[in-house]
Amino acid sequence: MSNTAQKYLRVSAGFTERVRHCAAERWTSPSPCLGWTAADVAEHVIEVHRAQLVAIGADIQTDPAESILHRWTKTTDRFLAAMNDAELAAKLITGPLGTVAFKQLAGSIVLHDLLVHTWDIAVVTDQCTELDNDAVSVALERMRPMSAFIRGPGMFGPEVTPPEHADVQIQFLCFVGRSPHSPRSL
Amino acid sequence: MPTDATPNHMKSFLTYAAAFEVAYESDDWKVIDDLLTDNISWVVEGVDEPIGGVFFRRESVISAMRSSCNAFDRRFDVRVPAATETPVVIPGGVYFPFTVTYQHPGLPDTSLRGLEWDFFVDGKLALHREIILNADEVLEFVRVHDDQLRPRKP
Repeated sequence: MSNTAQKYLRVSAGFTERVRHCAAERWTSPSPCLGWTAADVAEHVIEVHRAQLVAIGADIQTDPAESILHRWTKTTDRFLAAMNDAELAAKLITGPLGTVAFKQLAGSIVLHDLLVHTWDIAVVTDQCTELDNDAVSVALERMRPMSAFIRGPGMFGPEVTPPEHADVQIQFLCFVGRSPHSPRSL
Repeated sequence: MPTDATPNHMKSFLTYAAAFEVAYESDDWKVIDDLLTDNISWVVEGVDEPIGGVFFRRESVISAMRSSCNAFDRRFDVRVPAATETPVVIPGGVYFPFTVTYQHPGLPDTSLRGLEWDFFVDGKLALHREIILNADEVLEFVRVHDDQLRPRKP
């Protein structure tokens, strides 16, 4: 398994844990993403993954009647399998921002999005908000050059100024428009 | 065994950047024709046309590049572009902050500062986005020294 796939596996497992332990009544809680509930965040994550799988011809069918946990685990298992399949991993996806191999997209935009939304689900469902520190450091470094392309309606909000001496996770959350001390204010 | 066809966006960028400089020096913009996609988008923010602006499709973009250089760059004797940080590969392309320093006899140097993103499809430039950070300062320099600079080319 590549380093990227291993990192994805760790981050994905963190998201799965938050989804698994989310009490049923908390799925309707408002999330840090404007206008989205916790369930909307989870659906977004599933859709982002599926869009990449569709692009490389590796989509899976899921039943909308199934639980979020069930659909998420099927999707992330398929996604990881695609990352570990040399032929699928090398497939190219062309979008408005150029051509990217699936494995690069999986290890960058998809992974970083998953990381942010792990925190979103955790914070509104009163679960552990600690993220994978290595993944956070890399995400912050790699997302900075994309700052001008990741903000706007349906994307991340404006950067928040982090407090002095903020650790890397707080810096990361502020960069993606989260206010770590009052998450529901966004 | 599948071959690794991961696009080399840095190589595409360096090819494009070198060709741009050749086109600028020769004023023969055909040299970059093959390096742009048919549907390229060209976005230069922070300064109005003809220096900046938003343009679509190859013919319009090449025309905009030429107009921008004629309206601004060619008014100076020397133009020195430089990346102020090592360009980094990002998903789909390359990002770097830059300066372009302009020199003209009898005048102090002046520099445009900005950020640039270039995204590639099949090795061709598909989206160029540039944010000019200090246009007001540099346009004021041009206004003050207008009569000492070369006349604006049509």
